[in-house]
Amino acid sequence: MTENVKRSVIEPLNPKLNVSRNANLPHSPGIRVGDAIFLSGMGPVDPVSGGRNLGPIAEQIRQTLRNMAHMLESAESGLDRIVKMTVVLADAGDYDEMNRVWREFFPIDPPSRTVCALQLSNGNGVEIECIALAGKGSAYGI
Amino acid sequence: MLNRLYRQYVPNAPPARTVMSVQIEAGFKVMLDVVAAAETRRPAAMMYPRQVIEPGGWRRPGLSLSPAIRAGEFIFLSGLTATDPATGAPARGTVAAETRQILTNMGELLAAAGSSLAKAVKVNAFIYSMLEYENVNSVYREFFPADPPARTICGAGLIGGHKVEIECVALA
Repeated sequence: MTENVKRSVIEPLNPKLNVSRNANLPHSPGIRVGDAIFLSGMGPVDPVSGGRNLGPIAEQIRQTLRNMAHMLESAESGLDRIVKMTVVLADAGDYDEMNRVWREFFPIDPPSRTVCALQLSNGNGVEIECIALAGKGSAYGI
Repeated sequence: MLNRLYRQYVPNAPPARTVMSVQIEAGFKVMLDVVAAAETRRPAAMMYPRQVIEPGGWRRPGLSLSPAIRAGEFIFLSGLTATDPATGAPARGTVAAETRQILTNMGELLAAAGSSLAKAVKVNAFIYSMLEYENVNSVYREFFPADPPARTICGAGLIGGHKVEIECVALA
């Protein structure tokens, strides 16, 4: 007897961060399939206004990672459950700044990660997507 | 245009998505890279393990990423650039040379996780210019002589003056 792995849409509890729905875009914020959670690329959206938060790059990255935490926590997962991240920077020169922010959010056992520099839409300086595991682990994998 | 057409194919509960402007193969305007769920006979795992894979030579103080993470049956590797495995220093060279160094290192990293290149299921490769596409392929074929993994290649800006960056997902 085979059965399909369950596939469900993940949406942020804060509706202001539901970018794809608010902008009527044809993608879901995230999909859970089995134990894995796949999030769409996220940017620095202000959780209060729902608008873009285009401050200094470090602040954009912090905002994006906070939004990612919110999205994962909305699915009862969390930043410490991320296994793989892909980061797109508008400017490769922001790499060192990005790493500084990264250590604030992932002090130990950080996820695996790929970074590249590409054109981004809407003037964003950063876009981040991730694959995470569902469920709560003990903090930082022990 | 993309969104209008796209919506026709996934009208309900569309997949998560990231759209990027990258160089792709000559003559094409759009490339889709897809992960889908298939049928399974196995019940969902009850445990949710997340294990950092960090062999001795890959450990770097202050590094803000892990070389690889094992999650259930899958191993997710960070994007690798060409580095000297003995010193960890960048080993920049031609696209062919960097590709060979990366895939050699990737094989060792996977071996340390109890996997191998032969168990890679999906590879994503970034190169600084799609004009060098065949220079990746010629070396790539040496490492994957039969039944190569699914793969996406695009041209993108890379960090640190590297010409090639390769990531992969493999079975544990």
